[in-house]
Amino acid sequence: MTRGKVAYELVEHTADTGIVVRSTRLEKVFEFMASAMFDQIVDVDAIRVSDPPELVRVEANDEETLLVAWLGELLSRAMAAGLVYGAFDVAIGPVEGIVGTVAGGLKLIGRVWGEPLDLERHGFKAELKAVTYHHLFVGEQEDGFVARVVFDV
Amino acid sequence: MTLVEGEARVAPWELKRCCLSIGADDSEQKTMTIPLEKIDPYRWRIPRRGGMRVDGMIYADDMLIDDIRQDKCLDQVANVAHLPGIVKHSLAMPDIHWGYGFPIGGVAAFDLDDGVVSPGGVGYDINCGVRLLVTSLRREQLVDRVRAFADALFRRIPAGVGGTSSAPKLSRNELMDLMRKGAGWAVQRGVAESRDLDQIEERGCLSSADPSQVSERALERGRKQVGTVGSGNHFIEVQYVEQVYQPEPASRLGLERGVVTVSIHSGSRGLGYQVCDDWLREMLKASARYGIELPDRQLCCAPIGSDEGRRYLGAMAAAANYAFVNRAMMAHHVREALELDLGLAPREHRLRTVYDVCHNIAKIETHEVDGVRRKLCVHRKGATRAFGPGHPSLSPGLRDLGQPVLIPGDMGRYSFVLLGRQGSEEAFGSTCHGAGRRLSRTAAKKSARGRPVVRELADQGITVRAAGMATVLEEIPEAYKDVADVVRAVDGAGLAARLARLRPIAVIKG
Repeated sequence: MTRGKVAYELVEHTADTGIVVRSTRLEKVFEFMASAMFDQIVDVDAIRVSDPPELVRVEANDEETLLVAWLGELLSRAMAAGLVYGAFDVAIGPVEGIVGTVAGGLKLIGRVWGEPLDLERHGFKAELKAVTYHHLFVGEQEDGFVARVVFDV
Repeated sequence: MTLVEGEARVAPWELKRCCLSIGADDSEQKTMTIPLEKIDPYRWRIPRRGGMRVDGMIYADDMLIDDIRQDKCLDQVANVAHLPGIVKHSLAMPDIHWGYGFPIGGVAAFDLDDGVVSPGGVGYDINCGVRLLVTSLRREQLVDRVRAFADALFRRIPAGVGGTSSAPKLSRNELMDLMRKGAGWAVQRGVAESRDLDQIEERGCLSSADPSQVSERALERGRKQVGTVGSGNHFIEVQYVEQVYQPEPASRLGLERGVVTVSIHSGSRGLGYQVCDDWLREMLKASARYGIELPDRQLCCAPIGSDEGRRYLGAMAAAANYAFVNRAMMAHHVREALELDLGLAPREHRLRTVYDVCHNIAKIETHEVDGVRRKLCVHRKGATRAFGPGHPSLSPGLRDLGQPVLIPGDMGRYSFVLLGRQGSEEAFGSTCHGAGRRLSRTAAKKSARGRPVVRELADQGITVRAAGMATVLEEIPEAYKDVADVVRAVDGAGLAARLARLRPIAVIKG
């Protein structure tokens, strides 16, 4: 599980905000990017988390679109319900087909912990409009996995 | 946590290996050299090459094009030129800058028979736009009460993340009705005047709206946000008319030198963002289904006449109508602030709408192409409609003037009101939409670090009220091009002519 603020890099982008995260595990890249996303909106360390978590399940054709689907679901849920999330746990696997086969595509099952947005305590930074597919990248380097996402601000 | 039994924790698929650094010094981020040919002092061509179906054309002068060349936006103009059915040119206005998918400041028109519609060509903030209100108050009459006015606006118009209205949550039926009727819904509710409708693009309602194509999640996000400004580059600004360039038409619109105006810049809020998000996923599938090759996934699209294309246009129009109501509701809050907080009677302030424009939209319009009138789907992403005098779409009171065009600048300098010219027909009736960023948000924050930005603006006579300081730092005046340069270029190119310049005295930021 990833809780609170993580290390991330901001990528120069004229109008929007690009973020790069790295980890030795793909699942961690997904968790770190979620934390970095909420850290653009509020101080993610100020978010108190407690059980029970919410469950998230998304599917996509590849790792990149899976990352956008995961982040998009979190952002959209949070904004619709007036919440912010501060802890994330992700598992990724292939979408099951008929017994013994793989149907193609990937699924992510996540647990997320958060609380209602409290502008005073969480400290407002900026509203993110959306998670884009622009300059999207998920890949593997010598020292682990890396992902880049551009958010519409 | 564990996955379903039997599934591997380690990803069993092959991820692409990447040798590039993809961080802040990413070599991939450097602008590719895009060939540019100068056509005349205000026009530049990107010649068609590779998979481009048409040339790119950029409106800019020598000075602006230097800035534009530093940005990756020219690659995006070329990318848009790859899309099926694009007509004549992939266009860019002088405020163009790097966006996602389409450039911000881009205009592209597509043939209804073999062209496409792309949610990325509209943007997440569907019908983001500007409404300009004018009062009969002179700047001197408000000078002692500017702070009180700013406080009242900040209190009445929720700003910032998740900003929700103090009004009761709309029921599902009310929201569906709102999305069908647009600004007319606000008139029915008594929060806008029917005379305002003549002063709004499309009279504040896209009749093609199909609220049934808007997802439940989008509805949920929209129910509490009517009348909220949001964050980022959105704002409410109190201004005065500093300069008038065309006295007679300006006077007809109430824009006399020295009078107080209020600009509202916002769009369809979470409802619109969700509509775009939902439909991008659909369009990614549709692009594959229709065999459309995409140079950037954010340009995903579907044929205009396809089931996906028609349904997206219905959802987009519903979100656009929501945005018209959002700005109408904020205009109502401005009226309340003048009357209830400053104690001014209607005859003392005479608040009225000068015009309301969309600058993120796709619309079916008729334009002349090589001497033939054709129905086209015109995408304007960070570009404003600018129909010239005589255009039948303009209300009778505006038809001889041309369409008012509202061009916000940065919060420290000025904004402009223009009038559309017949020359805009070359750009499918379009012009610029703002100053255009020249610094990234991170570069702007770095430049502003340690500086008393609010004090600096106060020293220039500009009161700032903001939900968060991060946005103020990202939006410092030098983060933007000088909007006067942008406006001079569209004037020089014959797209729109300057009518008036507005100077800010108070800014409300999200």
